[in-house]
Amino acid sequence: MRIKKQKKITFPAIKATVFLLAVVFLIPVVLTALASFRNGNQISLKGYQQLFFNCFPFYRLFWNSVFYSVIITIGTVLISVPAAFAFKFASFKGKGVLFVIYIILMMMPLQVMLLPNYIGLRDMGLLYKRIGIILPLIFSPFAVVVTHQYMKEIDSSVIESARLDTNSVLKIIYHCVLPQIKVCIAAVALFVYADIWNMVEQPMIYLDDDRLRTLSTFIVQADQYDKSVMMPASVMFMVPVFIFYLLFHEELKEGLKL
Amino acid sequence: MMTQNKAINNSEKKYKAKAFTKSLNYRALGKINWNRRCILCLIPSLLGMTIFFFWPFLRVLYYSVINDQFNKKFAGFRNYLDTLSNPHFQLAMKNSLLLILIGVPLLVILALIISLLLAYYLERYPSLQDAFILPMLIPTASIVLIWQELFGRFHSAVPIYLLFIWKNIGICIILLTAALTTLDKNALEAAKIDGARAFMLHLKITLPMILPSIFFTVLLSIVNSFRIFKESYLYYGNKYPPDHSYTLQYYMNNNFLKFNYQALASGSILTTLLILLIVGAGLRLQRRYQS
Repeated sequence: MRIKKQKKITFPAIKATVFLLAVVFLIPVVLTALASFRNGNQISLKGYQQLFFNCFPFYRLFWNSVFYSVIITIGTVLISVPAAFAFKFASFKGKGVLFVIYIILMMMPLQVMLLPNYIGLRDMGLLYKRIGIILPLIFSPFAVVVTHQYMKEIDSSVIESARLDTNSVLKIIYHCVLPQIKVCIAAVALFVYADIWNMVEQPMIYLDDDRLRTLSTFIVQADQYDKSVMMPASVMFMVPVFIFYLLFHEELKEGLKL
Repeated sequence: MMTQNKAINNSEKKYKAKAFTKSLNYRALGKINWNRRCILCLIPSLLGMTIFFFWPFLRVLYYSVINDQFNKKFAGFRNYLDTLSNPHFQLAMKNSLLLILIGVPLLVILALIISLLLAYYLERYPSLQDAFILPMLIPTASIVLIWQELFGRFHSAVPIYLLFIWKNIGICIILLTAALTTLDKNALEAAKIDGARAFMLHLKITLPMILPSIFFTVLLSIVNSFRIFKESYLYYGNKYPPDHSYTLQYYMNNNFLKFNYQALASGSILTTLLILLIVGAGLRLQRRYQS
């Protein structure tokens, strides 16, 4: 009897709590969106008007963000899928150790890698250039590890039988492996895209020219610009990631298995 | 006569060269076996890793044991001792460890509760999950202004802790939910019908089953706690952060701006050691549990 009573009380309460928490987690996003339409005490589109017609760095910075994110995402996938394939299907001495090193690198905080990367870029003369941002980020240990983890489910007999038809590793990756890890690639791509879209330190340190920097650094240096454009700029900064999330959220939930 | 000879010579050379390249092609495509060609796929990634991570990292190790860039004398562990006795470094270390000891458990427990509730009581509302996952992708720079307005009055590290939880709960929920969905659901359905007490009893059985995933979530959250610098940096703007939010990354960043390579290098190595220690201990603990 007592148990039944308890159940009756808890179930709607649990539901309500989770719903409430979900709302709380969305509040910052919603408030930012609302605040972008605020001008003093009244609702207006003046901020957006300022942003679109009076704030010319915005377009350049937005384009830079798109440029870096798209190039780095494509590059990451192109580099890490074959690498993950090699980790899964090749056998060589020290494979296990190398994979552990990849995992450790994946866990390194950015600040630890800043100096090594900076020194490397400086010595190769890539500092203060777009390519200097792109190259180090393409080699993402995270993408290799996650893709490899997902490839565990691929049956090696499929690869074996494909080898009867073709001798090209790349063809086998393209025709046999890619279709099976589509979900994972979508998840990794979305994750990498959001990460690069959100990057702040690299453009601040590896670039000295404001014209090459990204939208994220624009918002850091908010005090230099007209205050009223910051909230609309914040919203515009969220929109692309938001759209990608709406398109690929199922893949994101299923593709990240660790 | 001479020219004719030359021509013959040339054609012979050409033929030889052709045969040579042919044999090379043959070797490249035919003889090199499947395994080696698989390894070749790893080369681009490995090359990039070597250029941008391994090699520079060795140089950082070198920087950490010399006097300075101009006077490259071996300094032993002096840079490390300097770093360890630096009050800024100690403060940074304390704050970073506090975030691991307080922030991470809060995050993982909250994520675990939400994933359990979502998986067993609210499976009819899958879009609820999105509310928790979305923050992981939303760029911090775009919500930081509202965060300043909401929490500007707090004079403690609370806003940063909240930002940490807000930002990282998504990936935790994804990982834990993935583990929960692989479990047998029927038994839990039965437990649910039997009542709350049976449900608690069942939790005692399921939780150990997903313990490896919980473990990994904790490990990943610790790593992510080192990454909160960006959020904190954006939140405090270009200003110097208050003492309670001065983490290791601030220490690194400030030394980077001052071009103090020795302090930075030894700080980087010490942080790396700390992370290796945590990851190593975590993996060992997990292995011990599994065996």
